[in-house]
Amino acid sequence: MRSLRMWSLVMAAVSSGVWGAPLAYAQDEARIQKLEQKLESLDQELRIVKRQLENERESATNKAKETAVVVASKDGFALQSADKNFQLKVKGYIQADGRFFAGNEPANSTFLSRRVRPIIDGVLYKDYEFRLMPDFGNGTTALVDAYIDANYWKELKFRVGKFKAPVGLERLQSVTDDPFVEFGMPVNLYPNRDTGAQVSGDLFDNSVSYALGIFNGTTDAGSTDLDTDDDKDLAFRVFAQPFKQVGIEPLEGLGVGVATTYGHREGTPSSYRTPGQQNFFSYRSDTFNDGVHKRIVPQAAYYWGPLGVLAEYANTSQKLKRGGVTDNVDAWSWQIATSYILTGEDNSYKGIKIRHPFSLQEGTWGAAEAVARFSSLWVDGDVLDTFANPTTAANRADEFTVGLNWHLNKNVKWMTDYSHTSFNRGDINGDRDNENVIIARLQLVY
Amino acid sequence: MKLRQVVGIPLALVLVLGLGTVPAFAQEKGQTLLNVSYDPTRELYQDYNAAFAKHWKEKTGQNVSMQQSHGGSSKQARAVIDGLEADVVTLALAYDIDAIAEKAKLLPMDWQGRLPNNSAPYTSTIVFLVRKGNPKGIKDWDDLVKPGVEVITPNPKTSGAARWNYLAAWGYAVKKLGADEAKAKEFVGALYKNVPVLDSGARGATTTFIERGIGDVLINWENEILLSAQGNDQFEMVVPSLSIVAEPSVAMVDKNAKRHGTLETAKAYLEYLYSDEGQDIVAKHYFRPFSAAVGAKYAQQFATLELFRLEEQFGNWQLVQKTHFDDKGVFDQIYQPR
Repeated sequence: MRSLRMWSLVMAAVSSGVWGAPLAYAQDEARIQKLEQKLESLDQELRIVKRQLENERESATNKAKETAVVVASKDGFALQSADKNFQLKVKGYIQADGRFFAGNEPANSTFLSRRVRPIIDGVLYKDYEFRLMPDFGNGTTALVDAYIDANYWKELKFRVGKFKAPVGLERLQSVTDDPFVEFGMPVNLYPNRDTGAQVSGDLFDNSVSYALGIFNGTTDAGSTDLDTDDDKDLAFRVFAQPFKQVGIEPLEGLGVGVATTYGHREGTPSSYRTPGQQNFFSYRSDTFNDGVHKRIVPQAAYYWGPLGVLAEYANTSQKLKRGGVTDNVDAWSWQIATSYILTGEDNSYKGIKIRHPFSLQEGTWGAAEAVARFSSLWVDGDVLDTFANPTTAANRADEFTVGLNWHLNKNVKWMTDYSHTSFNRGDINGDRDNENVIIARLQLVY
Repeated sequence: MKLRQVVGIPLALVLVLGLGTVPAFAQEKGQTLLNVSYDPTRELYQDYNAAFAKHWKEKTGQNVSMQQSHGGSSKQARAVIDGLEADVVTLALAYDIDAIAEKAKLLPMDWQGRLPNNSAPYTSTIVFLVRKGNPKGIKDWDDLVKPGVEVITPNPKTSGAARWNYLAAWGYAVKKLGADEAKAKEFVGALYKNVPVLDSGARGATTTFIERGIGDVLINWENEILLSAQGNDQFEMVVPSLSIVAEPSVAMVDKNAKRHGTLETAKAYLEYLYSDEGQDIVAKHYFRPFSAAVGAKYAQQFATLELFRLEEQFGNWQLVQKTHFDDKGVFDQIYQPR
């Protein structure tokens, strides 16, 4: 019995080993297979999620390429397509002046909104641009600029509309970048805005620029929308920076050029003004343009580090008629204007890049600029008495201006100029009284 | 100075000199044609363009060079409508070219009749690509609706190929399963329920299946699948019992070609697709040629299956678009993203 029990026990032990091992193995196999399937399924799920993310990212990137962008920055406000081929920019500037005369005041000291100019600039199909700029300054409303550009090549660009005639260097500079509150004397002798068409371009690695235009034609310092006679004016300007690519740093910023206009004029000739915006020379009321009117304006500019110098000479020669008398009357003007950035930023024709904008929190003060200018204008004395009244029209004005500018940041600038102008003739007692004026300006550009 | 004096003389000089030299200059310089095409034709037109340029030079002495643009068919049509200056379009479906004619008026609405076979010099059809060994046993369209089968096909709202895929599935449900509209909708709905990733175009779907290793079966153009399977033993082509004749269409974009002075060349470019050499190139790139003779030469390359045309089952593309693919159409009703 005992041996039988022993034998049964042994048999039971053996059989559990014989039958139990394969069963456990089969169970393990099944579990492993199930795990493998699960892993495969999870792997697929992960791949799917990754691929969906990839597609979403691609879709977002493609959408961004087509989505318009709204920009609000120190450069203004803009709406532009993702590829920038279509843009609408809203910009502008406000110049709030205070004009204070000293001594014998030729006019009331006054605060004024000198220029209030909203600007709409646009780009269409990358190559076409337009500008619309009215002015609400001085309590008036005027259309200053309205033009369309077609810029297929930088060597050959087309412009049609009303815009600055390609003549005077100081006039062509943006008023917001001009280091002086008011223009020098030569601006009196060449056109402001004119209406017409122009081709222009930049050549030889942008070291030479040219412009050739046909315009309605305007009086000195005038602005026209319509032609008052049936004749057109031609204007041509070329300006070169011959050392721009040469690698001699002190000479790179030197530019020289010349501009000329030629046309016929009929109508009333212009008056000339001081930096205080006072007329010091006007032709007699019965004096009219009656023939050729031509101008030549050699000009130069030099910028090196914080130093900037602008110089120009202008001659206008116009045929005038008074009663039965006709004659050519010339006027000449020149200026040398210098500016120096006291805080060391680089000077340029197109303004300065301020290193440390004004910030009370950070204790930074913006940039400071000192300016000085001499300019003069005189009219042909030989014919003066015929066409102008010497007791009211000074045939010569010499001015100097000194000033300080505080550039708080790219958008805000405070300017203060003192300008002294002396005259030859222009008063019943001899010479017109000197003009002394302090002009302060707060300018906001957006 | 009078305006006429200032402007007239120089203008006359410019016109005489300029116009006189332009034709000679253009002749010497040659022409460039822009072919705006859909995604899978890159390799086809690379070879075809070289052949056409050689043929045109021999025939006319004129140099012609081709620029190609490829992308999803509907997207390409939209680009042309928005101003992409195509001289010719070679798109996935006639509907996309109809859109160019209707919305941008760049070619006449009856453009399809200007070239043989409704302006379809080659066709393709819709087949399946499966993984090696066909682990899920995919044989026909009804295998694609089974639970556990993951199907890769692009979005028919953005992809021309995807619309052919969708219509082929629908056609199968109607013709082979005898489904009515409701049942066909249910069938196609079940198929799209098995789609884990809906790419925007055919190339994206191919990337998902082949490179990302997602899905059990890829539905795509026959020519794309033959190209993918070529020399790649990781995949097998499965030909369903029934599929649709997918007719990519070609057309001159008349207004653009006239403006570019390329009308004659553009016409010749498309006509040459029907020539023996053109058809041979087409077939070499796995498109079914229109020419019966060339088709016979490459018969071994293409599977034999029952094919139906879109017009037989659906009428025309305008009806198809309105019923199935417009917003709130059938596809929007049946597809829910996972």
